[in-house]
Order: sequence, then structure tokens, then C-alpha cells
Amino acid sequence: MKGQQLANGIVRTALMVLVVAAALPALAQEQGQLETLMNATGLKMEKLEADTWKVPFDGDNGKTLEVYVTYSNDKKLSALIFCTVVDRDANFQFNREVLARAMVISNDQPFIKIVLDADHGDLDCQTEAYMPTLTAEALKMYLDTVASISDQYGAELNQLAGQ
Amino acid sequence: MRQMIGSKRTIFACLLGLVLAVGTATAEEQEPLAKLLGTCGLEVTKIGDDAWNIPFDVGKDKPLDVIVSYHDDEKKFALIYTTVVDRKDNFQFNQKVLQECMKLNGEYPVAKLALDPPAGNIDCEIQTYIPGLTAEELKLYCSFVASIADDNKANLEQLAGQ
Repeated sequence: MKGQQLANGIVRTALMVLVVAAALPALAQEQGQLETLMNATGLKMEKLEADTWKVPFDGDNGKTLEVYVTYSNDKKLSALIFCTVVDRDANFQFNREVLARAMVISNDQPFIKIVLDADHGDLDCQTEAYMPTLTAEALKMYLDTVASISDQYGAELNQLAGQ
Repeated sequence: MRQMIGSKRTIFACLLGLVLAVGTATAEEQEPLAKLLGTCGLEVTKIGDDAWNIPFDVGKDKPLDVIVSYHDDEKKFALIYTTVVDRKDNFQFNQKVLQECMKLNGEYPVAKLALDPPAGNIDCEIQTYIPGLTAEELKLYCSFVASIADDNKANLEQLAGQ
């Protein structure tokens, strides 16, 4: 069996965005939709700038986790929900152990992933949500999930990362 | 007043319920993945009780195999993945290849590169909720996973070493 052909990368990505956009029901698509959804979550939040919010959560050990919400790109097709789990100096060289553990967490936990933001020296827990089908209830749960996973693994990852 | 984090189980249950309420039930109740894969237009080979292989021709001797299976026993979530780097069991991947994978995780929406230590694999995967999933979306997810793997396989293989 020869298998199906892969199209050019840019074409593939554009096609995926277009077809998924066309295939899914449009529940919230107007300008400012993320703001509308954020306000509808009922969560306490701070608006930092246009289309960017900070949502504080109380972690299990008494510390505050800050989950950020913004659009993931200029097209505003998806929302990015993330929390910095490990915060080091810019261009910090994370060791093998913490990177391996983070990738195993990404393997074990559905929907979320741990991402390296090398320029900022951060390990972030994040998820992306497709805007046309996103509801306030789902957004709230994504926020809670990102906060929960960040809280669950934050201490371990910070310890592994060292200083 | 700040919000409290719910228990992991509660969050997951609520997330399930929410997506259930929002989604449109387009998949069959009992064997939704089999139904979806049967109508997605891709060449699909059943390789296990609840696992299917979809080969993608990437211009090499061997096709790039994307595996589709259930992520949970209740068959509510689909796991779409391909192995990008395959080493012996419990292979110790080095810092460079792990760092590159985690950078890529920030570049690709929805999909992620993840480490399966017992199998010695780095996989590219997408998890998606099945109710509401259409055959067309599933096809696109399979193609997206294959595309990411094909675009990055050579570099990650080289970084991983032997």
C-alpha cells in the first residue's frame, strides 16, 4: 500500500485551518469574542493589554498561579491559555532531566503540553482552543486545567531545573 | 477573591461534560473511530482491536505510519500519533533533542511532541474528543501529525544520535 501523499507544508497548514473553520459550527466569531468569553467565565481577572488577561488561581500550597489568556495568532482563530511553570533567566539552559520529565508530562496529560520558551527562560504549561467552537464554560475549564497541571507539577519541575 | 483550582478528576469530568454538551454527535455510539476512519477517505488498516494504521507516502522507501486509537477505555477520546524518533527501550534522549522538541511544541498548535520513555520513542500526537468529531477533521488531524513528523524527523533523528 503506497499511502497518501503529503502536500506542501504551508498548503497543508492553510488547508487545515480553512477546512476546520468551515467544518465546525460558529458559536463565537465576532470581534472581541475572547473578551466576551472571558467576561462570561465569571472568573476574577486582570486585563493587561488588548486581548490579554491574567487570571490568578490559588494553588494547593498557598502560592498564586497566574494563568494568561490571549489569542495565539493575528488571525484570532485560536486562544492560547498558558501558565509559566518554571521561570529562569533568559536563555537559561534547562538540563536533560527537567526536559525529559516535561515531555513525559505532555505524553501523560491530554490536551495540555509543556513548552520551552527559550528566549524568556520559561517552561510553560499551555493549551490552545479553537475560537469558533469555544464557549465560556469550556474556556473556564481550560483555564482551570492549565492551572491544575501547573500546580501539580510546578514544584517537581522547578526542583529538577535547578538554578 | 481568587478562584480555587478544582481537583484533577473534577476538572476532567467537567471538561468532558462541557464538550459533550457543546459537541454535535456525528460519530457512532459504539465504535466511533471505526466509523469515522471508514469514511475519512484515507487508506486505513486495522492493526488491533481498537487501533488503525494510516500510511503516508513521504517520498521514502517506507511510508510514515500514523496510528489512530482510543485514548481512554470509555472511547471518548482519540489519540492520533506517529513515532518521530524510535530508539531502543528506555533510551536516554539527550538535552539537545529534548530542547528542540519542546521548542517545536510552542510552534505547532494543537499537536505536541511527547516522550514515551519505556518505548524509547519521541512521538508527535494529537488528542481529540470524539463526540462532534467529523471524518474530515480526523483526516486533517492525521495529515497534520504526519506533516509535523515529516518536517522534523530528520533533524530530530540527527540530534538524538544513537
